[in-house]
Amino acid sequence: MNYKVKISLGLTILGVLLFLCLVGSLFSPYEPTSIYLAHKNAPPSFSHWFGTDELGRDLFTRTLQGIRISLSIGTLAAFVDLLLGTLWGTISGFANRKVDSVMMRLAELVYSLPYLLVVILASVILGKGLIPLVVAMVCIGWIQMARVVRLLVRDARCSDYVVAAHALGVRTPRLFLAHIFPNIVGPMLAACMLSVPHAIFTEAFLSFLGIGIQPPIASLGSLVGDAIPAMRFFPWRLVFPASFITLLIFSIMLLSDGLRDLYDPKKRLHEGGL
Amino acid sequence: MSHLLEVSHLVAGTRTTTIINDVSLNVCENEIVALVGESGSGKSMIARSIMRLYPSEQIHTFSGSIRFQDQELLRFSENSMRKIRGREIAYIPQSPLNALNPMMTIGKQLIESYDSRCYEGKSSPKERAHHLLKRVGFHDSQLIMNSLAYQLSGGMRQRILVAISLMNSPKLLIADEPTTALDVTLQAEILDLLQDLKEEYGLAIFFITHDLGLVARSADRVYILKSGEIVETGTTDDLFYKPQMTYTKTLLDSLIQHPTITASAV
Amino acid sequence: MSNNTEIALERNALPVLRKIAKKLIHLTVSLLALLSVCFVIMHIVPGDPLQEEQGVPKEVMASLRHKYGLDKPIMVQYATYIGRVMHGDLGSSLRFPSESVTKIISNSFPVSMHLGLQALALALTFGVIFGAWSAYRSNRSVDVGMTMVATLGVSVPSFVIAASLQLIFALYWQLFPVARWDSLAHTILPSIALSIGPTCGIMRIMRASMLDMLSKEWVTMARMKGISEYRVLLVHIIPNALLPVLHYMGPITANLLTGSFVIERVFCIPGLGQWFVLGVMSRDYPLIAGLTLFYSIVLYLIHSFIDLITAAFNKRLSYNEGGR
Repeated sequence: MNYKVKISLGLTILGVLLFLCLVGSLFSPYEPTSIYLAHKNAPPSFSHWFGTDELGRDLFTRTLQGIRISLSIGTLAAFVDLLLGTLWGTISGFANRKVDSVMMRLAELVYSLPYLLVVILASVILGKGLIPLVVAMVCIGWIQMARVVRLLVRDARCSDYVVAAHALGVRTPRLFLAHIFPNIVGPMLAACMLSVPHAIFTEAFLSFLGIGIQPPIASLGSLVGDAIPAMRFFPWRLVFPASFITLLIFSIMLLSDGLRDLYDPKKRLHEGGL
Repeated sequence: MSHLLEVSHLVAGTRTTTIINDVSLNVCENEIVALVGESGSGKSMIARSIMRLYPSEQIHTFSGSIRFQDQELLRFSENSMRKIRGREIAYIPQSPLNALNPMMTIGKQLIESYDSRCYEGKSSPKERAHHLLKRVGFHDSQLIMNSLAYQLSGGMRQRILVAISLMNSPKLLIADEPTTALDVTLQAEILDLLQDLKEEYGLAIFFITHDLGLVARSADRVYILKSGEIVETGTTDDLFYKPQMTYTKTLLDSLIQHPTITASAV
Repeated sequence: MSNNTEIALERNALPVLRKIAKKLIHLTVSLLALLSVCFVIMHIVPGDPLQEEQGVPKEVMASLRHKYGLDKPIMVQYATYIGRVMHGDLGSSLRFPSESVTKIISNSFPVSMHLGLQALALALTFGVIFGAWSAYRSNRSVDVGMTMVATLGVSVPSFVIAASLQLIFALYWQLFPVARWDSLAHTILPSIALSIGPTCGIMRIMRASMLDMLSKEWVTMARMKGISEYRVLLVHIIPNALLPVLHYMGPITANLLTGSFVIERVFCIPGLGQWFVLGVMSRDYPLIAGLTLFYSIVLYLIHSFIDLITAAFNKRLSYNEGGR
């Protein structure tokens, strides 16, 4: 599939979701946390587009809130990962062998465990809630970014144009800013983009288990988690949040896939034939 | 003598570009014919067209004919073509570095080429493989049979590829720049080997190269290819001493003094 | 012919043993570090585990503390802890004091392993087949469709898959049991749910790897030899294409492990994942620490195994990067 198709499809879906979560609430007279016990577990209707949950809260508004939360946490976590990872990776990439080795060993120690496992453990220590969740996600997430950046920087340092610049006497800071950075920005951003759906998934996962976002704030993960015990009789409570979290992750994955194709000349050459 | 291989007015390329334009050439038994051209002239494409294995789906043969032993190859089904490949016509690729499967032993790769229907000799595939390995110059053929590609040098791999091509006693050998990836001394070895094989088995060898020095050393006849068209042809002596076309003269002039040429010329 | 030099054929036995020994040492050191970190964290966190108990008289609290050795100095506690772990005693669960952590693990690990292996088998089989098929017919409608499905499969969160499958196939169509782990039929739906993410991941990797292989020169060469396309595919292309998949097995195992938390919860399966989530919810530190330790060992063994195999194969590939 063409990278252009991927990028445009991804952007379209994401755009629709963004529009919905930013503007959609204006169409709904309800608050995400307002309880209307009289209307609990109501199926989708004209007054409640997505139906209601067991406390009578309107699911349309709650789903939109969920999208907002998931998207913001995901991008925030990915962004902080990018900053920390770039910092660590650049230093490691430029340092001499020993320092680099030590830096990466420290990173590897935690990396050997699955990301989700460590995040859960971190949540246990830090407690439940939004800030602890983000901190838990970020304290491990930056390592992947650091590895990518370090590799990119190391490769760039060996490339001919950098060696040439270095030989001409260009100092390291300028070497990095003017020569290396512009060339690695592309793959770096592609990797960063890929960590967004990962972060969104992690947040949803944790909220599903009950460790992440706490009620009454709605997270798409916790909405699904709450829906499962009741899904036999009230399936709409599952269908809507599940579809939206899938669409959210899918669109960003598609987008980052397309961007990665864009920056990988080999792949483009292959798809074009010959 | 009817030609073993006869290519007439071949036109091939992609939908937008013509790579080979009206090429005609022929190869007879017991001779070495060289096709000389610079990079991008389309010479590899001709070899691929004969074998009907194009590097990409976009490339087709548009018109012309390729006759092998008086049979029209272009009209063959894929199945029939497969019966020709490796059996009647064998191919020696350009880069020995990647032409051998890095995961399989050399022995297995030799033996899998063997087709008992084609080769009329009584020996088993293993015996044939050993015989050919010795023929191309390996003293310890068992060692080679058991080794993997990464353990061997470029020259050794190229000789193995020659051995592979001979497994089924083909009538025609297409050598696509067989020495480009090798050092000069190894080049000479491979060329001498090919010449010996021609004399011993009566092989027809179609040799593709950009190096005129090699041509002078081994070829009987030469075709000069420029931008997909044959510009000149003749025996090696004729071409080197009485070149007709300007392009040929340019090629000869740009030839760096090759010791073997001066030696054979004298 | 010139006398080309002998080939240095590597003899593999001794270096491999040395490697294994090195790995074991590395493992012990890492685990020790992990244990220490666990211990430190458990004692840095404000409020010890017994604080959750309310309305308990002071004397009982004191004796409980004494029982758990929480009144001794930190270094002594540390030493006792390490000592006990060395003997395979991971302590008792705080929430279920009669259950030793080791017993919990030995009871529930076989269940999780069964689930995981089934899911892995499904993922490998279908992932490889569909990935190869997709690459072979690359850029045609089959491929485009399958790539879409694969991307979708990787995007859908595991809990969504688990819930949806349960809803559709167990509750509505009643083809499978809804939950629990009593018969073989009970294992089908959870295994499928757990395998979908990995299948799509493997499919993507396999496809990329196959496309890479299809352009390799030895594949063209094999065709030049007149070998049947069938054999070219099975012998030359697919085995070489499987290497990146092997490499991916590390992340896949981690995936299956964390996936089990969700799947076991949704389908009420008495596996290790359930216990872990339970422990996390109730801040049952010995349980959490013990399970984390166990997970680390298992993952480490698997990673080392994969590393050994890839190392063996990498050597063969090392010389071939010179050309196209």
